[in-house]
Amino acid sequence: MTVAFIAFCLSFISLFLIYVILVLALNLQWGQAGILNFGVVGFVALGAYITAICMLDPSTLEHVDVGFGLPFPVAFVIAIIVTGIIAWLVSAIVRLGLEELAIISLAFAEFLHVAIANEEWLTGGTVGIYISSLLDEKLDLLGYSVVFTVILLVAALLVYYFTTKLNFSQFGRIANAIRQDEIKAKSLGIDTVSHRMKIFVIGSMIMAAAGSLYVYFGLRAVPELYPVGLTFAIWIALILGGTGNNLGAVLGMGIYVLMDILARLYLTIPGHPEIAAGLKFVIIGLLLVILIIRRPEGILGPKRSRYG
Amino acid sequence: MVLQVWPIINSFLLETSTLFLLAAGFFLIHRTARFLNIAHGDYATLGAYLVWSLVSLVGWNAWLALVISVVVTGLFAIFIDQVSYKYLRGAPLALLLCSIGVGLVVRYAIFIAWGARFKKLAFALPNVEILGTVISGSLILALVFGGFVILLAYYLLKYTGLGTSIRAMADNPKLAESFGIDTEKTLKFVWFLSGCSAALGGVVLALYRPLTFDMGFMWILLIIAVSILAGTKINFPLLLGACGIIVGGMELSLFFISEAYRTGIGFAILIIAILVRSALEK
Repeated sequence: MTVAFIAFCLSFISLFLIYVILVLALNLQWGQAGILNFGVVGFVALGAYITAICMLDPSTLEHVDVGFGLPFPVAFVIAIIVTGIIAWLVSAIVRLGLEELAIISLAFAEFLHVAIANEEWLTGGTVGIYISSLLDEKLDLLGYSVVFTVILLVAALLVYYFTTKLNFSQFGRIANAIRQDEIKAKSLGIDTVSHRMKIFVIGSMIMAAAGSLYVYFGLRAVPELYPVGLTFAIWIALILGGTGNNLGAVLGMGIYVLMDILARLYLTIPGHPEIAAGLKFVIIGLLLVILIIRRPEGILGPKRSRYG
Repeated sequence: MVLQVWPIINSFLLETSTLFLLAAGFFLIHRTARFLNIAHGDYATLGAYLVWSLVSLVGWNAWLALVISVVVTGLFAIFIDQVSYKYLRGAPLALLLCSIGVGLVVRYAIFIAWGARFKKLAFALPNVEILGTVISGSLILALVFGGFVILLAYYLLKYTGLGTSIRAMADNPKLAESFGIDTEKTLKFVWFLSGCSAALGGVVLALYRPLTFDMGFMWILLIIAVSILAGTKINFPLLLGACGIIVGGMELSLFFISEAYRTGIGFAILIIAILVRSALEK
């Protein structure tokens, strides 16, 4: 067990914890309020890039013109608030249907992807933004990995606690009521649209926080860290584990990550790398279809308060 | 003057008819089965790859290959419906999620079967010269296919029993069923037509763009935008108009913004489409 190996394992755990935060945030939106958000990766990238731009000292990178050199905590808060405002704008445009919000969030993520790749002065284009953190200089590799794993673990636990608490609060019960029967909820005097918008914004802010931490721990923001496929990975993990159940969501993420590792290790066809690459997505798609038809509630099934 | 304007008109007409062909089947499904079939663009890709294989690998006549591929894609759409969507009738959000899975399967099965390398659809089409401007064969084919689909749709919807059933389902599926319309049988026809028109769209698209495994998927947001803009009645001329508005908007935007933001413009038009529709409904 070398130090490098332990550091590698810890960085892997850190990435898993970031995915856990994302799946919990999506569970808040889809599992509780029934909001289809296909722009998960867009909100993650938004949080990540705002953090990177806020933290960057523009004199250190030649190809990026904008940077504020702010410390991480300030950048973190700015990233969350700005993403919250953008998420509010996205949802405010489509106050109406869930289908429309699904498509708009998908289009939003696509648009962001194009914008990030093209606006080099701001985002560094395909090269990306590289930042240096203060922690980096004081600690060695192992200490650095340990500190970040602990930070992410605390963050994941906080998100877990917060979303579970929310689910069983009055706020969460209203969300559940809207998801189950919107017309009935409306007839009880609930402003369903604004309630749903609130949950969309809160979930998106959590996603931005995950993206922001991802930048701080990876020290870079590059477009290929935020592929469109990540959104579907989070979705499948959630549907696999159990919609509306935080424990199930984490379990689903665990199973998904395990499957991904196994696929990388064993799903190789010598001489035809593209077949293996394609096969992975075919399996993911099949899994998604079969789960939605056969077991839409996931492995653990929803966990509601006794009124939900 | 004619020479300067013609390339713009040419690409406008070509892309409008492509978008119309791609969106026609999606629109039919959106209005009758009532969900957004994200996998629709991949049906188009499948159709184009089938034609390519039959022409380039098997060596068939291009027109025969076209007819066979279109029919096969139509049957494929029925097959997919019978094995997956059928179990989720009446649940639009679950269907939407399911179609994402179906899209992944179809897209990456195409990727595995035909590889990642670009293909070129070889259709020997003569260019026609009218009044000094050369009209490309692909444009003529696109216009002919577009015209064929719109006329066929008009005839089917207006003069056949099937068309009446489709219109009744689009208006109110439960009422249609209680009036004795066999909705499952109608849906089978609708899926067949949807797959066929998608294949036509895919072939037209592959005539002027490289044939890749995600070719059809790239258009899905535009297809959705057009279908939403076209409203709640099955009205194909209106759909064509929506295609014209969106392609026209994108073409005009090229004068102001860089080419890379075409999808961004499509996105902006989609938002406007949703806003316009909600304003019209109120």
